[in-house]
Amino acid sequence: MNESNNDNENPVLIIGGGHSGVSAALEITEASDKKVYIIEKRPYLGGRVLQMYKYFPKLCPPFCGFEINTKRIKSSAEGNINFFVSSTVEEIDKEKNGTGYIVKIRQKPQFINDNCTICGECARVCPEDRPNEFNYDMDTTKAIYLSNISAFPLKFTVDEKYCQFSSCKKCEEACKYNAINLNASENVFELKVSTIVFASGWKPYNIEKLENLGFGKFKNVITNVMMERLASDNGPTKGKILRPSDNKEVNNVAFIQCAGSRNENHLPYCSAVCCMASLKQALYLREKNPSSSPTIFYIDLRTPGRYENFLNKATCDKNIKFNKGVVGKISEETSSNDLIFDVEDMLSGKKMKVKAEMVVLAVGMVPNIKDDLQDIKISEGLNIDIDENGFIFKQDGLNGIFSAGVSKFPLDVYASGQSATSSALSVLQYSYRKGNG
Amino acid sequence: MENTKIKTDNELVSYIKNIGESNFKKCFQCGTCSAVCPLSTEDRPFPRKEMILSGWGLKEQLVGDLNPWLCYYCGECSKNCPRKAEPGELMMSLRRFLISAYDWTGISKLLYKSKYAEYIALFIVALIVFIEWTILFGLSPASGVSLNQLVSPEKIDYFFDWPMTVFLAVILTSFIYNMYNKTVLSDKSVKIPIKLYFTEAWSLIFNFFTQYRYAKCDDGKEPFYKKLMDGKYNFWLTHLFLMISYVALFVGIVFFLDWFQKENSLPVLHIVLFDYFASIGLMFGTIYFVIKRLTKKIERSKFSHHTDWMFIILLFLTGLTGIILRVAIVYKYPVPWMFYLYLIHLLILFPMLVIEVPFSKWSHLAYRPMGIYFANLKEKAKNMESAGID
Repeated sequence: MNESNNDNENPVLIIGGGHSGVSAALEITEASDKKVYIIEKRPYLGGRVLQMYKYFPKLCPPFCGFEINTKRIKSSAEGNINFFVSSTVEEIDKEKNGTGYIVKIRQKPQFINDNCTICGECARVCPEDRPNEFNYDMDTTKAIYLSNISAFPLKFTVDEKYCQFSSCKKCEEACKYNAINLNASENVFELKVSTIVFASGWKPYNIEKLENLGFGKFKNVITNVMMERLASDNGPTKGKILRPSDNKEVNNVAFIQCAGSRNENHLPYCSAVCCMASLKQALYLREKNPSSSPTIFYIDLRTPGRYENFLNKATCDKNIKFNKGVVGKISEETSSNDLIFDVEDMLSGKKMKVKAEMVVLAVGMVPNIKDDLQDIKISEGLNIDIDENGFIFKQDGLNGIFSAGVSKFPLDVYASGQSATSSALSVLQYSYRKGNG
Repeated sequence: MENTKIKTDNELVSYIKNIGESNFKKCFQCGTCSAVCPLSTEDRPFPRKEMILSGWGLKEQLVGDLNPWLCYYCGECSKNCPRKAEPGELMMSLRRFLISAYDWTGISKLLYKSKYAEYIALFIVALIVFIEWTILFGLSPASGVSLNQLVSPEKIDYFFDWPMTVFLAVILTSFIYNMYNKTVLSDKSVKIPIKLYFTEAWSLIFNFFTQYRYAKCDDGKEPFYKKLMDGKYNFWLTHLFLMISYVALFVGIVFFLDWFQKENSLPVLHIVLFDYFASIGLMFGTIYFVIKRLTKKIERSKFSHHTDWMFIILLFLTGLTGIILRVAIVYKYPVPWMFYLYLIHLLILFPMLVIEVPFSKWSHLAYRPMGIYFANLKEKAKNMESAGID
């Protein structure tokens, strides 16, 4: 192609290396000669999907699909996909002549180079512990650690906040492969790009704000994302669903839907995934512990399209109970750490006192982009249209600003892939128009 | 399958909307309100059901519903409502609606609908009082005589206090019967054994004199004195103080008017009870509630309907003029002053009692304890029935 050179001069910036960002990058590079940069805040690609036990629609474990994607990244033509982990965007400057953007990137020091074989000797000698945010702080790792079993790039990471650096250096001495350099410094550089795709994903809503639900106060009140980790074989409990207070296997678990969602004081919108997630998690529990009996407390179960079948699957299991009517206030029984709450069963018209060994709050998704943009300096004349809920729903096709995944609106994994493909097409259309314009 | 016909009433929906500030149409029936309500019980969850009954305008169910009288507007429901639909305020609106539903004359409905109707009604009663006074005592007091000679307590009793008391008793009783009919008699699902009316009567008296349900609004586990010290009972105790003060004065004036009009105060009990306790209760209580309604800091005082304001202002003014009159009598002010003060006092007092007690906010003094009583009767009767079946 004639424009191939031109294409490489006008690469695409993808902010966020999660499922959407990686998918968009793959679609763009596999359909064109365009070069793509992925900027990822965490030390690995793959995002939140990697923290799932299984994901929709086929209930695959995440490393399944992710392995294919990493293979595709590795084999992308002439290294057209460049990714920077542990990196954030600092500045976006619109070029005066309208040809694109100059983006300033800050990459945290890369203490570990590609010599790393993940042998783990470094972690064995490391004296410092850190909370493991991959497992939502339910366990700890050493300050030098492997972020997760699917880590890509496949190497250890050093947590700057917990590492003692020069006063310790035990890991440097222990490493046989010369892979560790604790003197590495951060890397600030600029990239010239023609298009930007925001794929910066989401975080669970800070449910501590709903004080009545007791998250953060009572150990056995957890969130749906934590439940995924508890169910995961590589999670803090090795796949056994044990409750945090005493590591007891739980039978009687209450799932509370719309925790903070569809709530004008909190998240006014429906995240569209939590009902399915709770149904899925109730089935995990039933599968892993046949004597268990989860109850789902809901306002209305939202299982769009063919997902209705999944609801049928859950309702066929007589040990999964459903209660129309949600919980207002949760309290803890101090002796047992069980949780007690009042709830109305609307179908019978009675109010009941319920006791549960563990409560799983179905917490909604908050887009990261709004918070991220606060730390990004954006030049004048560039307007990123963030709606009142923090999503970039309206893409700016004239200036080459697009969004994918949960940056755009709440989506599940499957639909994120679709939205990534759609943004990839938008990027290509945009550059085609520019090229011919 | 049998079809159920649902009769909705759009006019009722807009009436309920107009007599309060609840956004009950926004409710999406999540059940948070019923779940957090510290007063609703296993068999009687509210206010979630009332939200949908109001949204649909199901008049029959609403008229027969006693739950609004069991609600004390603790505000937990409104605080936690994810739709900001104000369920607590809806229960308040429903109490207003019920007052107008029990009133067969239709006056209440007018008063709640329009504040001008309320002004006119109050004015008409004041005018009647004025004319009566003019006929009985004239408008220019003769000099050199005592107050009792100018305004004889017997005449006040015969022409003002007692006819009004009879009027209030008769009309309020008829409304209460109407309430009984709509909430208990017409409920075919339960039949109340005669014996229960007597055995449950204590709850009527207990709730009238203690308003204990207010105390249940705070369902924290702290001991009573701790809550008391933290001020969690302030609203309840103030309400109780005000109400007992008023009841004491009302009974006192209706039966011992003679004593009130005399400057020499013989029984110590009367001085302590009426002059001090009740006067302080009346002033402190009304001012406290005015402040609460102005600052809007607690849920139950966040919204004020015109009838709320009218009631509390009239009560305050009645108390104030009454106390000034009493001071004038005790400290022997010039008689003409007392004569006119007396007239002003009655011009406020009578409209307040005649309009507010049966037709407006004050009727809750009867409906609240009656509502709790009837609800208790129904619950006990149902329990007895199911126990009999088992």
